[in-house]
Amino acid sequence: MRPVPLASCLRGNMAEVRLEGLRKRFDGPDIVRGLTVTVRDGEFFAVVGPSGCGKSTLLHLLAGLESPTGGRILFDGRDVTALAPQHRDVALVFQSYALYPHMTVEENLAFPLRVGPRRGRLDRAGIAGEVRRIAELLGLTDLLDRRPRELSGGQRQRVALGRALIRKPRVFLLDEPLSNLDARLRTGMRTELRRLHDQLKITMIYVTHDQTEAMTLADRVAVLHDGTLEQLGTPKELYDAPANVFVAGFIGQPAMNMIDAVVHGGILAADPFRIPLPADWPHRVEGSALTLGIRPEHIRVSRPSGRAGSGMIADGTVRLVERGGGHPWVTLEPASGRATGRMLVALLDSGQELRAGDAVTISIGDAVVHFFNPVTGARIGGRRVGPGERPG
Amino acid sequence: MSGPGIRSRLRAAGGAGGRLGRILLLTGAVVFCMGPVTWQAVTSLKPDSDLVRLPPLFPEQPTGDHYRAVLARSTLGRELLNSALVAVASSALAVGVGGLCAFALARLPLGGKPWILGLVLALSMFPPIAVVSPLYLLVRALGLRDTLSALILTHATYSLPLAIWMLSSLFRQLPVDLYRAARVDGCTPWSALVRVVAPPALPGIAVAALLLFIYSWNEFMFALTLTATDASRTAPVAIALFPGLHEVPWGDMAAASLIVTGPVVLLALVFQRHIVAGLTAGSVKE
Repeated sequence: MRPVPLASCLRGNMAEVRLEGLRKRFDGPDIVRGLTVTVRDGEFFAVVGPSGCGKSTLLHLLAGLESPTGGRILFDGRDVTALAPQHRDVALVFQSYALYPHMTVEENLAFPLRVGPRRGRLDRAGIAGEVRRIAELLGLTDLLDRRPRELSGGQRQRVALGRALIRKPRVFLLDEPLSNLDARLRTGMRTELRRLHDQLKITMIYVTHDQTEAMTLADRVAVLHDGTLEQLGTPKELYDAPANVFVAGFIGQPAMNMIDAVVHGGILAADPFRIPLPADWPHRVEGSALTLGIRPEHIRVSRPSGRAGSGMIADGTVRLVERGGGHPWVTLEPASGRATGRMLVALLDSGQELRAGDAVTISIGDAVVHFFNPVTGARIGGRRVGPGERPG
Repeated sequence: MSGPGIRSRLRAAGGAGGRLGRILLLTGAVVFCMGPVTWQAVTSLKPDSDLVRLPPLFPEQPTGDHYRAVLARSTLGRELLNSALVAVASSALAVGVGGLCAFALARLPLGGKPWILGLVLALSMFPPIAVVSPLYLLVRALGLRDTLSALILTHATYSLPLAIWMLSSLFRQLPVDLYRAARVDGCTPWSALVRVVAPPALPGIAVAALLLFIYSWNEFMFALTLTATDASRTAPVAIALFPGLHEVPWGDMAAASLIVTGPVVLLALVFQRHIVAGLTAGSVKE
């Protein structure tokens, strides 16, 4: 396909991005293995996964910095797979910011308007006007004469954003843009990014390894693992109905508890719990194995009550207390787990005070539980269980 | 970069013994490096009668005769000009061509990069003496004998592997994201090189150019073989041709050597500050 300047064929600065069976391999195994995803026009789309899952490669493919081994990339239905980066009209914000060290902030911001297909579209005054507009939007007006090395991390970050935004790209790609900032600044920039997106309504594809970032920022999240799409959905969908063990373990902090369970006499034996199963439950096959997932926030911890034995309640001991903010979480050793070494993690109420060594009662009455196939890891089902209710 | 570290470590080694050892070490290094040059300087100031006698070490009556004699030779100016032209043109050519190769090897999607670099290194290991006769025949066949072009091409060819190696590692040191950012911002590979990759690398490029300049300025064998007259003869060759049938004018040769060394020393001094400042600034990731 011939490199046609896309901006001239398409009005507006929005685009639907579609990947069709996208594959990429360098030397060795595939980094990206047949991804098919549609990012909607104007959507804030996050790609999240552990390091090495192919996220950055995916962005480089979208930007045209790498060419795919197979598959197609379409912007608004138009095949751009063979298009060089300078003709794609996408912007990319790098984790390292990649500011040009020999240029001032002003020159950095103006650079995309001075080179390539957009050169000459604006005269000197026009470029200066755009730079001023972007500098005001991002609070950089007083820094225009500085060089990148004279800026703080947050300021560099804003210059990198500005350089990407100034030419009103059709697609805005962000590669872990907040990971080099300190925690306080990161939260601030997160809000800022979301505000920018809502204001500009650009298609944003945001890559991160931090599931909290993805869950708080994005309209939809794609979970990537080993170059394959594990699940795609809204943050709520990912949280409420994780498609498999990987997503269940990756989304949510602290991670979901996973318990090996066996169906035995109409009851799901998931040490230390025993959950009665409804008679018509399709997976109620004697002796079949399941993986049970319970989020830490669905496990209740209380002073020993002596009510253990209902199946949903077990005795245990606190082994570790961690405070990550308002709600501390505890690592628990169930009384029955002393032999197996199984531990459970539970989130406490903000006022609840426990110390390592305390004896407690652990309850999953009223918890949402998830069932997974222990071999494939795929989700089988899940629902709320209660003392008087049965799982479905 | 490591300057303050080394200095503080030396200071930590401290004490009178450490200080004495340091002074001895530095004196030794200075004598080793400066000895030959000093000898040349002394020789160039000795009257002819003292040249081959050892006491006195220093001339009792220093003379400027040798300098006057050398400068009076009508050809030396021409030969210095030849040297300068050859050195500037060959180092510029090598840096230009080598820079493009190095950029391609460092940043563009090419197969077999290690093989290419290995081959380049292998070529640079050819001893010049092994190629000098075929090269002479080639240059004669091309009708380039006794021209500056012949020397420029030869020196540039011989500098090229060094240039490629130095510049490709230089380009590789710059964050790859700079190049990627330039591409996404709208640059072709060429304009990314010119506008984004090369400018921060300029101090390093200058160092490479300086080294190639010095090589070409001092190069003797090709210059001797491929030149015949003042039209293309360079200064080192000219000095080597000073000896007449019956006498070797040591004093004149020493004076001429110092004159020829001058520009290189000056160049290195001028560049030194930029080189050091530039290298440290470039190596820190922005």
